[in-house]
Amino acid sequence: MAIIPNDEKFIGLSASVDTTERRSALVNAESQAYTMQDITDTVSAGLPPSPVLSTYPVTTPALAGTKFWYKGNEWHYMTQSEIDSAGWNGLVTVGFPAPVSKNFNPYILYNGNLTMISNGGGGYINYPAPPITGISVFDFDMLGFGQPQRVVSSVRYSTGPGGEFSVTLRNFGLLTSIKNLTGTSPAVQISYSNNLDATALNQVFTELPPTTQVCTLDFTNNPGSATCNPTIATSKGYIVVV
Amino acid sequence: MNLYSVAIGSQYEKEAERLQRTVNFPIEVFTKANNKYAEINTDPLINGLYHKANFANYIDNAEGPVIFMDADMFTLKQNPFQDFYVNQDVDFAYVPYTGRWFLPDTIRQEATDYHGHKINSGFMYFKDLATAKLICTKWRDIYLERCELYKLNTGNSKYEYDEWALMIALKELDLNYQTLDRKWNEWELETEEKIKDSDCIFIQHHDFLDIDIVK
Repeated sequence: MAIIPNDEKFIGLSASVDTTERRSALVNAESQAYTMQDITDTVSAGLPPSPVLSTYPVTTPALAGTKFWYKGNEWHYMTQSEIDSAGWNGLVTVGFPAPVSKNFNPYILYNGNLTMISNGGGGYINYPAPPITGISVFDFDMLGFGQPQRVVSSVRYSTGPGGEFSVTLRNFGLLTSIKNLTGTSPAVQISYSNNLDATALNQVFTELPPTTQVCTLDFTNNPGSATCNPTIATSKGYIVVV
Repeated sequence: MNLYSVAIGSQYEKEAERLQRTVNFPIEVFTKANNKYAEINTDPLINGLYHKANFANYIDNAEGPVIFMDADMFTLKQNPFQDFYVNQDVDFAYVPYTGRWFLPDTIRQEATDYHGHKINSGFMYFKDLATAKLICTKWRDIYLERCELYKLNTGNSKYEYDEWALMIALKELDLNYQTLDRKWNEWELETEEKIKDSDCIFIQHHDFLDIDIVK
């Protein structure tokens, strides 16, 4: 296969220019003018389709700049420039997976019957449960709030008809601020359902950013409540209830 | 038994109306209209919480125990106090929060460790008015001290509300304390349905102002 030198030049012609060669009919018959669109179509047709992932993606630096599909939406492994554009520099590293469209749909990033996200003072932001029942695995991803750099003031996970349990918490490292959203509500409270072991609780504590707000992490009634390490979070300014 | 509440601001006054209506027992509510009221802070939250902490000092006299109830408290029971009992030697009784609390600072952690839990200030029993004044005077002073911390961006803010100051005050006073069952103050029921289905005696909620006693 011939390799076109990188500094080789191609002269572009306007579509209105007659490119019919004034040569013999035989030569003309074996000539073909191609437009840029022809080149694009050719290149695209030669590429394999974006892969479809069935499990939650992980940071993969080697795949930075490539795309894939996850839960029906296009994601990408972010390049440094994409990370900078999202304002996530210092929060994530090259190859971090995220939806291409930053208008995140919370249903994309949850696997379970999330029924309510509250701001703690009666002004609930309701996310009606998707039509899924019998779910026992819950995948809670801060990317799903649309602005992962900002925590909603209170996240309250309700038990739905499937008897849901939260299992995995993701991307809390993207949080850069925690604040109250209403003046009459109690201070920020993050409450979860009751299936987090000590490892999962410590993971949450570790991934949370430091705070200067009054933020209470209520993780009572979890299997790991008695054995987790709350000082991971209190050292960063949180109040922890287990 | 003497019942008191504090309602500084129109919203709290509306809530206090529900309290008075549902409890069906004389409750004295301290509002801005009281001639002893004076604004002590331009921040309405701090101002309101100060007056709550200081409520007993607005009472001239009262015989017997003093009970404080938050303005957003109400009941759906006909005779809510019929089964209420506190041991005779107890100076102060309250409903505790559940769970083990871990704090980012030593002061609040030591107060929590002293009591063994966090104290909810929505429903409080005082042995008598003198005891209430003793506690409230210490409480309001410590609350004002903590308000100074809010200016320092050290992780303390007005949204810690009044209970930590109360806990610190009670630790310093070292009186005889008793915890009460959660039924005497349920503050986490979120829907009207759950509230109506509850067996709790007193409930706190900022909404459902028209809710009424079950006849």
